[in-house]
Amino acid sequence: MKGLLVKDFYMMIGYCRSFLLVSVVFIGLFVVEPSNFFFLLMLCIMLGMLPTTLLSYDEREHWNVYSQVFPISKAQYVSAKYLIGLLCTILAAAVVATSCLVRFEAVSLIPLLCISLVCSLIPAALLLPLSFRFGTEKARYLYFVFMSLAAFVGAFLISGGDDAGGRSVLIPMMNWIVPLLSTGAVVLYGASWLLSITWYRRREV
Amino acid sequence: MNALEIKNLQKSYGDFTLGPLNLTLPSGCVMGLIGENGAGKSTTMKLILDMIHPDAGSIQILGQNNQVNIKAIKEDMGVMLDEVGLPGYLTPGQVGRIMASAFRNWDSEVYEGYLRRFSLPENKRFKEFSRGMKMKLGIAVALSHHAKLLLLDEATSGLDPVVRDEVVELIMEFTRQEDHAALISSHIVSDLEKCCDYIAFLQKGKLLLCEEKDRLKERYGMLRCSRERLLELDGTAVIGKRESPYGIEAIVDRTKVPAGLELGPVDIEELFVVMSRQEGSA
Repeated sequence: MKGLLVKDFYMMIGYCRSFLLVSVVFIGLFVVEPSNFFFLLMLCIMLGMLPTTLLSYDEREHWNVYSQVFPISKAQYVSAKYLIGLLCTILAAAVVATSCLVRFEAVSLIPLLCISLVCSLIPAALLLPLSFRFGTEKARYLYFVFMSLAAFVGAFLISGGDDAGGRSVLIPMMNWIVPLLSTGAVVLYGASWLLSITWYRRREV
Repeated sequence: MNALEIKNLQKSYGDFTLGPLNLTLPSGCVMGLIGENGAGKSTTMKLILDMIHPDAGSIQILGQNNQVNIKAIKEDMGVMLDEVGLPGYLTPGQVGRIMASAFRNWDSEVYEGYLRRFSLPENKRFKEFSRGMKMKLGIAVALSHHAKLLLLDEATSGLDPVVRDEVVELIMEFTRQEDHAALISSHIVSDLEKCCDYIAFLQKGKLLLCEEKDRLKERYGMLRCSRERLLELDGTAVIGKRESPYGIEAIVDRTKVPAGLELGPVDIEELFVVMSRQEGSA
């Protein structure tokens, strides 16, 4: 397991540099103008996608096959990706918290943290089982559907507000919907983890 | 103890069926698994590694059932597939650190020794390596954790003769220890002939034969004669033949031809080609 995490760490350093640049731009957009919080959430979604991106690299370079010659179980292989997902979620939360504090937006901190949790956990929870079951190529179709939906919802929320990019619509809802969604995202992530292990054990690569 | 025991192993994919396959590889020996492309060599390797699930049969590796605790068994196995699936971004140095976390018995000194021996730069990215260098790194990984059983699946295909010879030399070095064994699949028969004690022929998923290499050479001989002379022999003695305007070259079973008949030696490659053709036309 540790070997897999070390390997994914090297992969992130190697292949995800452009991701760092995009992150800086998105954080900057939020810090300059808080109505751009949608970009911050996009960053959380992107971080949530990182385990699937790593899995896609594994398939492209045939590591998913080669790793099976080592003393690594399929459950460990799956779990490594979910642990990376959790680390990404923590990172997303840290980015959101830092950005809010830089902007002195402490009131929005808890709701935004909850939303960041939802945005980073749900994409991984949906995509990872499909990727482990069918391969990332097929799962990518779902990724596009999900991203389109996320963009649509984001655009709707922003255009629906009369001030500050829709925050007047969002903030009252956050009191109850967002914590509920956050809890649901955590439960979904756990269920997705178990499902991925079950599916990947059955899969012959 | 046997390093590997395969009993009644079967696996079907659509119109291809492997087995029932029975193989035994004693410790201290090297077995060559020979077969054309699609004969079932890689399927056999994947079944041994539990990468795919058998329809029937059992596999014992170093005395343990591979369905029970393959993770622990793999600690004692060095494996190289036809493609070394390391991420292109990684350097041999990084690979070493990953493997040190993956294997309990990883020996960094041995690994670094192989890197030096193969002249593999520690800080060069894997994607910048030639195929030969990639395979050498794969071998270094497979041999640096004190494995007892080595599995090589088409490890020499696509390599130039010099590198292939180095690989063969390494296999021979590895099996000098009594408790070490190796199963090597390849369709480059000449490489296997150099280092194998046992030869197993796979053809369309079926095991045509599995015998000691020396016994195969003792048992079969090459007969060069006319068509008329060949017809005088017992039909079951002729394993296969090749006709040319100058006569016939036939591989025959020495036990079934009259004593005193002049027979030349037969190499494993000729035997494999002839048997494959014979089976293919049957």
